[in-house]
Amino acid sequence: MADMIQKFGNLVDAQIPDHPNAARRLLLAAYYAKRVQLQRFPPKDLSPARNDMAVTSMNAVIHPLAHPEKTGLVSIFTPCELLQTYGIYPMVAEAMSCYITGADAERGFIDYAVEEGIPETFCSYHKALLGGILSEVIRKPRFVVNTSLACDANNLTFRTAAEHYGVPHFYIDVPYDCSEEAVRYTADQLREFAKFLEEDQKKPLDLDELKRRVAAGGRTMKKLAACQTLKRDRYLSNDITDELYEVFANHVLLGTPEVERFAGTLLRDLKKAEPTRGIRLLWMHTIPFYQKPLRETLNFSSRCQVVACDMNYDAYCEADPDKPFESMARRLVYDSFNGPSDRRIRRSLGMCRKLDVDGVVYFCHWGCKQTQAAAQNARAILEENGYPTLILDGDGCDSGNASNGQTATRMQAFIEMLEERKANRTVR
Amino acid sequence: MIYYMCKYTPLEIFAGFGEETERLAPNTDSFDTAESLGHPNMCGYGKGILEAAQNPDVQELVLVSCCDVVKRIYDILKRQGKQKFLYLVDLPHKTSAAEERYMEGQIRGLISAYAAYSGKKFDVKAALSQWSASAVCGACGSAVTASQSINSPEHVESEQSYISLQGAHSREELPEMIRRITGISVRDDTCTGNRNVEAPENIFAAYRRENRTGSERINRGAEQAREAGQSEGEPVPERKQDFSFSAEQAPENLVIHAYAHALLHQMPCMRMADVKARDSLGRNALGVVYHTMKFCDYYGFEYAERKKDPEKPVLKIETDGTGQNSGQISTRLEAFAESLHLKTEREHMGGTGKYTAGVDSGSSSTDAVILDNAGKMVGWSIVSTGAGASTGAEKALNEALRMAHLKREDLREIVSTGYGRETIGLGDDSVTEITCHALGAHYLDPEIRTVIDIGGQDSKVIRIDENGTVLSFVMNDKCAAGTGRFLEMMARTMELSMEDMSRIGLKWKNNVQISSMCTVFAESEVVSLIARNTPTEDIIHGLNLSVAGRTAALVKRVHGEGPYMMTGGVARNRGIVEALSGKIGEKIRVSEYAQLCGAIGAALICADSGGSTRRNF
Repeated sequence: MADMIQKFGNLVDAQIPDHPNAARRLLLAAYYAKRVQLQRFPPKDLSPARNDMAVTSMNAVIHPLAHPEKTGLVSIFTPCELLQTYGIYPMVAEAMSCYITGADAERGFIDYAVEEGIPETFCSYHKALLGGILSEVIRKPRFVVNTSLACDANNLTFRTAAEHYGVPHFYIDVPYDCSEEAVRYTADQLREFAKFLEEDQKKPLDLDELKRRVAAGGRTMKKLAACQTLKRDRYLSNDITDELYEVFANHVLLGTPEVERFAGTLLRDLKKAEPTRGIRLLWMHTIPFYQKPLRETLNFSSRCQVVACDMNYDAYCEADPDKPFESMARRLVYDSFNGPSDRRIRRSLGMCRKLDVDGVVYFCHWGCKQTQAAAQNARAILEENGYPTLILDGDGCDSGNASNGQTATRMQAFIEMLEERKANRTVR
Repeated sequence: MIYYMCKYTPLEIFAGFGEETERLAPNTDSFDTAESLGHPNMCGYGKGILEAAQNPDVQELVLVSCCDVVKRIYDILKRQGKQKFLYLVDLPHKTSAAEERYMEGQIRGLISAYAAYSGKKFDVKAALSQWSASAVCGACGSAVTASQSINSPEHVESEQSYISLQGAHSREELPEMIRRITGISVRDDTCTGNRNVEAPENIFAAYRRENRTGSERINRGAEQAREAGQSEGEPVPERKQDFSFSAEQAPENLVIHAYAHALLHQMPCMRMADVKARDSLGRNALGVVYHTMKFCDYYGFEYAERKKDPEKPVLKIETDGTGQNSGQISTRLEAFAESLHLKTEREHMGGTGKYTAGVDSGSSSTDAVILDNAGKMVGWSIVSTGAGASTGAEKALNEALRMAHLKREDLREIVSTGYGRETIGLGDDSVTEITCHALGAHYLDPEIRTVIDIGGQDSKVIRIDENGTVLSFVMNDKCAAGTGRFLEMMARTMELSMEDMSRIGLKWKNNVQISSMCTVFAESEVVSLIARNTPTEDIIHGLNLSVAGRTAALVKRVHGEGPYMMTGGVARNRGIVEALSGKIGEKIRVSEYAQLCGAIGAALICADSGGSTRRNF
């Protein structure tokens, strides 16, 4: 199967420079086929909620790729309730890149971007996306919108995309200071963004619909928070990709009925789940879901499981539907990925305690300076508090920039260490 | 002493506390401490700052949230706790009225924090006076008067000929090196260089002229709406603010507001949301030296844009923040100076013979060529450079003389090129291999418009005109991937000779991807492929494609156009030539004298025979 996907990826890559439409059609055909597979033949070890979210995530890639005229290109932290109000599909930069990697086609996109002058040291998610944009495999969206969260790559990729397509660009600057003044400033920008959309869609904003979407997002977050509580002592079989689907649920898809349904079903699945077993890990930052040694070690495994990723529940705030702009702004400003790394580390420490994990994998994704440079601080703080931490260098998107051998050795040694530690603790 | 790194730092504020400021200029070549505190993949400047901050003298440091690495430097230093006063100013990405007000809040925060730390009272008049005094163009150093705005076209136009050093922060040696090699002045337009804080009197004059009600109107309006319980999105009438003061008479709050305005409206660095003003950078410069730094992506993006204008000469210099590759940088700068015709006239040693010689001292081989008065090649040699470049050069020249049945005194002039050109102590002058390869390729085939040279240490692509003059060139960065050295390392891994690599690679059957961008990773990938019994010919083909891909990217960067010629030792590797032809979509010509190309060019440079010489064997 892996060889077949690799051949498919090579086929897509070969089309990128001269036949971008063919490359896109191939990708779409693969995604449609995968969706049918998920709907008709769901993996037997996956809970219904997880499978449902996999289909929702697949749709979130298919729709914007197939219908650029109804699409806005967005960054992962962009609050998309405003887009939902107008029925605009968000094309999520990181999601698109993940799915390109899923099709084993990232090499061609990344090479295309680098040949166009994009630095090799740039984040691979953004390189793959830019390869798609500059080659026009990804067609011109209506507009581009991004926040300054959570990294510098946003300031470059989306500006480049807007300039390349010649479409309007809206930039939401999220202050680094986590304060109510920052919330007000960000909310004012979201109001400006609403005007930007009114102009694009040539119709006024339906404020009531926006409030309904924000309320739905608030309910979803509450249910997902309740799932966190249940995860402490339950075992629900999962795949490392599931946590990435949840990243979409917690951000760009928040406010949609599909994600609210997922949160409800996940809560139900967890209530029925068996008692916890094996090694439990908190994963920090993105997950190289394509890497064979990680899939073999962590997917559907009762020996060792990633119970949560710190990219989820990172922005838990009470939503006030009567103040939709402030609610969305507060989510951005108080997101744990905003501000000093200490906020993110302390919040992860809180997750460790709440979920009762055995250890933390701190993944340094290629090109993510914010995460990489905070690695030693994170390890020090987590280990001071009793949570062994593995700093794992790799690439969440570019399979050519990661060494399976190195990953396997580090990961397996870490699990062995945690198992011994747990056994000793139990004996004591 | 208050240390800082970013040009957006509100420096002048510290005069209000009677303190002096100094930019932290890292100059270490080792990042051991920084990498143990952070991560090896931080940019060299960031690592350098972390190293510099370990100096006990750096007790007061003000950082700005200008990029991801600086934000994390703040976190790391805060945890270390070595500084008595460590502060991070949050810089907005936009510059409209709302952001001016946000910046004003940030400056007030800094004033309060420093006052609390030092126990000193802030004197706004002293800060204002410092602001007036320092309102000079950070790039050219000229004072900015009330009638002349720093960013005004008049000011920019008044500049003289210069080289504009742009891109990421560079070490202090780089502008010095450019000045020395090109012989003309250098404007530091890097991210830390062009601090252009407009004079207070300009700002207040503009406020009066525009009858401006100030940035407060937007934010205060929104605040009033909230206070009045008005619904979302309702516009609120403006509240009139008085900006009719002169700078000296203005109360503190307006001075700080105007100062925030001045700081934000400098020439934007690449992290700002609107960077259109940067198009004017280096507009009148004779050329642009563009400095990029590994793992600083902002300026890699801008460089890609700058390269799109084939009319403006741009030289890319990439460093890792250390001063370790000054040899490579020097070669590039010399070639750039040659292409801009900035190099001073050569004075040859006055030999009277009829022949000229060129010696190309490379990292693997040293080549020599002797031309007669008609430009005919009468002798040549290729010898291994060996341990000493000088010995290799002497040997190569002697062998070429022997072939031509000549003696040393028959030579009118000798020009050396290649990495060892300055050290071999041979000949009348030295010229970079870029200029020499261009002339050599033109000599071998006058139709050639793009020369591709994959050498032992680096790769270069040179675009030339119908006379063999360099129009533009690019070279690979410090990394070995994509060079002859990369192929040698891989050959060693597979226990093959370079000749075997060339021969066997042509017999490939299946496409194998060697996808790693890193030489070390690529080696481990090759080992994995060997372990999986992948046929050697397919692995070699994968390596050829990898090198071809990197070289094709260089061709694109230089706007290469056919016909193409490949020169240098790697041109003998047919697998590479075929893979590269496939990537470029055009057949690449390889002369039987490909390896001698640099030496031919050097011999042509010699007085009276360069430029117009035609192929003549």
